[in-house]
Amino acid sequence: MMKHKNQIQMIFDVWEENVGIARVTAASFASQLDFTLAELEEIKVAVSEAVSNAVIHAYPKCEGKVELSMMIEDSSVIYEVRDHGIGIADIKKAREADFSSQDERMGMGFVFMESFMDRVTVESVVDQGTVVRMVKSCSPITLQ
Amino acid sequence: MENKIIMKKGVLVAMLEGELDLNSADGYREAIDDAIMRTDAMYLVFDLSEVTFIDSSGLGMMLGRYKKIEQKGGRSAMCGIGMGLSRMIEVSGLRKLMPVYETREDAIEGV
Repeated sequence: MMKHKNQIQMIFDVWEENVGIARVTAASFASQLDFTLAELEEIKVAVSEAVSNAVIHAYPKCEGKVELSMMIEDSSVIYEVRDHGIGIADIKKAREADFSSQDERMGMGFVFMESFMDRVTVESVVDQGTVVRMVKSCSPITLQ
Repeated sequence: MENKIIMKKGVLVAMLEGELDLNSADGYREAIDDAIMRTDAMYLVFDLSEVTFIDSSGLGMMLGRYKKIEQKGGRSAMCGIGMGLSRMIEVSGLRKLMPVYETREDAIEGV
């Protein structure tokens, strides 16, 4: 089978309005592969969560950029959401859901990313930024 | 947004619509909190039949209002959950907190 490779990168301000643009673009990009509509919805949620986290947490002064890189390799789509903000001091804790949190989102963002994508990794350096990388593979369709 | 939040049979009904995300959650949060305060509502129904997308920002907004009503000794419910939203409601755990009804009328009667 021929390897399918493609890549798009978008850079945008940390505005709440841009979360929707990012997830719709991400789902459009993934539609090059044979994902089901339900899987495309899952991708939209996962990307929405990763970008929302960057918008909410990365830049306390609400000024900065988020980079969303999208890649297709073989039958997988890969998303990287990168910011150059304050970073995450305790990644393990950040990934845990906390229903008692004062934050109304309850840390559910990572729960959805992990539920809906095949692989999620987080790299972060305090005061330098964070990269969330998510991979979702497309099951091959058997042609009749 | 105000006309999307109505009081019916003593139940506050929030008819949410469109994409419920970081960008829209704040508006609903303020509007529903304001309605709860104005009406002193004890019962709240989230009607999701016109919602096309929801993420943790939208679900978090709902959970926050649920907690507010619960603290007053009241109850909340959801209705109009289509296939697209069903899994999100499940994974978030909201289904364990609030009963789910098929229609708005059922939710108003049941809550």
